[in-house]
Amino acid sequence: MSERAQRKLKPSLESLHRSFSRLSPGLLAITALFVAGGCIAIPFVAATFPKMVDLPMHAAQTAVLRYYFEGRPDIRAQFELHPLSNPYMSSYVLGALLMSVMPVLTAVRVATALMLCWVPGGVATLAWGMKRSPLIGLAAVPLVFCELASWGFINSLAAMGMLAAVIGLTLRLLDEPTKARCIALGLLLVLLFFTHIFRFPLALAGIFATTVVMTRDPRRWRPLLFPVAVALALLVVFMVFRPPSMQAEAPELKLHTERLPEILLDVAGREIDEKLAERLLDHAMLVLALASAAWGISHAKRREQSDDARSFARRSLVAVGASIALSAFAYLILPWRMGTWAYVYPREATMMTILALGMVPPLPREAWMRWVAVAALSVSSFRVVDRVALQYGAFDARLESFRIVAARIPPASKLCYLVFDREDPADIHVPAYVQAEKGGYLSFQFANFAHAPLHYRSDPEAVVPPIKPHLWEWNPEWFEVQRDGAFFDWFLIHSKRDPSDKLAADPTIVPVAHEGTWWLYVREGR
Amino acid sequence: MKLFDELANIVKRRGDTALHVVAFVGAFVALVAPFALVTYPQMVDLPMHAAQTSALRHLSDPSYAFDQQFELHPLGYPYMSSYALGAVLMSFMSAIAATKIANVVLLAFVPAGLATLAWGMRRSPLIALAAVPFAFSGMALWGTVSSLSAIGMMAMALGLTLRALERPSPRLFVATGAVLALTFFTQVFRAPIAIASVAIAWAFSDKRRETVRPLLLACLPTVALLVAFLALRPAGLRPDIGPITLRTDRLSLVFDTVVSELMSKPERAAARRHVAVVVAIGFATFGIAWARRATQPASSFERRAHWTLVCTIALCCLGYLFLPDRLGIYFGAAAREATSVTYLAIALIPNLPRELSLRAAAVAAMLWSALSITDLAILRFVPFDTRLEAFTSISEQIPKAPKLCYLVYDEEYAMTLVPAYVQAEKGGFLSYHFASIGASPFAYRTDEAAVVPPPAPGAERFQWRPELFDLAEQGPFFDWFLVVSNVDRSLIFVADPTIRLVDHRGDFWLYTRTTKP
Repeated sequence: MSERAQRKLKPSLESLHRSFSRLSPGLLAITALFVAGGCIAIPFVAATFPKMVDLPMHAAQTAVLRYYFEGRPDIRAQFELHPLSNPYMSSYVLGALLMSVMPVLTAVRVATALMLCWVPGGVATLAWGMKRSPLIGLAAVPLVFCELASWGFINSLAAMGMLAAVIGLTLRLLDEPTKARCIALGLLLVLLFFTHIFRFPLALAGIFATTVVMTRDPRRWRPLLFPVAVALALLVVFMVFRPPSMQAEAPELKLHTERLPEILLDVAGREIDEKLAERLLDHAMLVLALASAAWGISHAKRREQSDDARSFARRSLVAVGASIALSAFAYLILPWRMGTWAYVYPREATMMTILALGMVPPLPREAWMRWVAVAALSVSSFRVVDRVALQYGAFDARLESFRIVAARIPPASKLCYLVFDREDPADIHVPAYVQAEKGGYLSFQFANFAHAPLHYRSDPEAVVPPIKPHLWEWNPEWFEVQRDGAFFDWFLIHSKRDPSDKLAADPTIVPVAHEGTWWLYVREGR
Repeated sequence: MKLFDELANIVKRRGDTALHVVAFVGAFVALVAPFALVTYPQMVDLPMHAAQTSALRHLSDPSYAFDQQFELHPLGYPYMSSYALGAVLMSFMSAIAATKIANVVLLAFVPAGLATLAWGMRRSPLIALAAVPFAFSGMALWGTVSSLSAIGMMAMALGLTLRALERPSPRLFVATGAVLALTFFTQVFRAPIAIASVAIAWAFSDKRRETVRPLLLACLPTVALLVAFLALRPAGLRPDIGPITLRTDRLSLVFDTVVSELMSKPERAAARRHVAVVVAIGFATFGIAWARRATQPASSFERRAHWTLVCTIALCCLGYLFLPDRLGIYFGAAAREATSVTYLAIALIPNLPRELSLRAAAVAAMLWSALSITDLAILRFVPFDTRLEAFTSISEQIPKAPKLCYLVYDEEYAMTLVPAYVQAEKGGFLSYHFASIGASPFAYRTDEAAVVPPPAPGAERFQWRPELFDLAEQGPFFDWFLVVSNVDRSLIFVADPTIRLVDHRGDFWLYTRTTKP
């Protein structure tokens, strides 16, 4: 190229470079949002029935909430709503609203995906609160499909993301109080209350720890008064109205240091698919590499920072570290089960991991480095969700026979279901999708549990299935047709071999359909 | 306060030296401890290496009967350095102890090679601590210690070359030549790659004209040896390579290949942890170096050394992606390049930061990781060693220079060649020996006066296929039969009434022929 041409081109290139530098942060943010949202959506697009153990029950509860407000007689006859004593509401409300504009199962999947967006969203907010790049939220995308998600503990996961966001907002509120941040924190605490009540006090403890670390000046605590007051008020209301079944006995607390080597297993899952485990490890390695490089760069440039900036960075690290320590303490001392609440301590492993991502040092300011980081995290996240989507697709394909059989069940049916020969724990609540789409009654429902906002009515006019004992759904062999089957008209059984002998004692029950491992029976003459 | 200031000054002045001492001692302990605690390290091919070392030591001693069966071809299969060292050590210690020490010395080339390469690139040799766990990688567990050591020697040759090219000195060129020759006599297939890496370093050098002659002279002996090898190599090392295809499927298998299927789950987890430590140190160092590039730019030498290393790694990578799984009797041809690529990649890490605290943190992290892997290696070696107590007591009953047939029915790979320790200590003949497949500097004599065991059925697979043993075909040559099995296999010998059970200890069953057939 001639010198003249080069001279002509130079200003254009420089102008292009300047424009790119100006637009780059926005483009990066949009790219990261698009990637995160896309990655979370992919597995839910790949399957009608995602492979999550409790999701069918959440679908049923979401639909029941909608039908309740629609005034459907079969639902009103069974349930009553307790949003304050059992505030496990946010995903159900979101799903119920979405049901206005889309089919039931689609609404449940969309609501679930939106709730799960709190995981990367919470990490991004935490990073923003620590005055670091929110782009690191991308690193949390694979966590969305960890062990907790496979069990369908959606609200628990979302609440963890919300807790991270609460700490981030608190940091910023203490540093630069504004009305918007104050209101945002208050709203977030309310949302957290209605998402997962057991995470709520930990969020308050996190606010307290953050405040104590960031400032000893009581005048700077004032912006927190309103949001904390709202939160405490809600907590008091809950403590007053909670049912006896939610007043779990204080558990026996013991230090379990032998759990420490198992932290990663509790995050990823002990029965995790080998290929998925490899991809998660690769992702962890990538995050480690990015964090190490970022640390090296910030360490070398630390003298360029002002004293205030260095002090804020140090204290915010300690504040987040305090929350991680709280989670670690809970991980080491809490039991596996507290009342009807299972998988208690392992959840803290995921909480620690989410918060630890907030401690990743600030990404370098250079645009090209941020683009490299975003590209690498995007590819790595995609590899993980691709594998998850494959698993969901395989599970979904297996349920084709369930779809065929369930289509024969009429709306508002009294359905008893038994799941023998589970190929996967996710089979256990699949029949609850029938109630989600068609209403009616189920032999086993989360309404049995203390934390469900929709309870079975206990007044004399209620029409309610017989209450089943704890772990009923995992023990179908407990079923005796004459004792347990009288209430029901329809019987849906998952079994590899013919289960007719389970119902033989009641001659009014006859087979209707059989597809694959799903068998449908009806009681004649009702 | 004054005392504190004085201490701080001492730490500043002597801290780096102390750190190097700690690193050296730590690496030494990490490398040596598992071997020091056991008699029989759990390495598959090690018993055969002990037998061949003993053959080299006692070739001229008729009481061992090695001269009746073997002839030495040091250039046809130049797998000699560990045997030569072991043979010297056997002058004043037992065969097994000598073999162990010889192998440890060879394994020491793994961290030493990387330290020399780092020194050659004008970087801190402390990074070599990251290479210590390779001493317990898949290649080591298979007992291909010479192969592993040769990779370290290649790195050493490259490091010496880089320094010699930057500041030419006769001593450095001589040292380079010596290490290249040593590489040839350690693992012949590594030697041409080592020479290629030296050539790459010369190509990137800015002193090509003045260094071409001394470098050629340094390489000449090894090149001559390679020519001699090409002429004299046995048939098993003249394979038809076949069509060369690009195996991109191997890219996702690097970790599994380096670690190998022999490693337990905890060992694999420890290996992953070590990778994480090295990744963290590497990227942190990169970040610091990148941020300081304005005030501490890389010199032109450092850039050229870096590209030399990148090209060498690329060469090994091509070997990994294109070479077949075996070349004649040379197994794992491609797989070994996975180890060489990951090993050399450590040297890509920029120079450790100046700050003593950061260097100390890096050393501490690498030592902790290396020692945790050593700990697992000990947990692997000790039960194996305990299991071989029965072997020790049963083999005491075998006389000197036996004609020993051994059959190993055992799922533990490392048991497969254990009976070769009998030949290491007592000489004699073995039913299966690397010489029978041409994978040895010792070949069976073919002259009429030779006394040679019958060929093993199934050739190189016989060690894994004891069921191929034919008593009528192979049995008559042997006087002693050692069977490793958790069940009684006496039925194998029922057709020959002259063979009777002598002793049974643990999983070891010893039979002897009471009268010559």
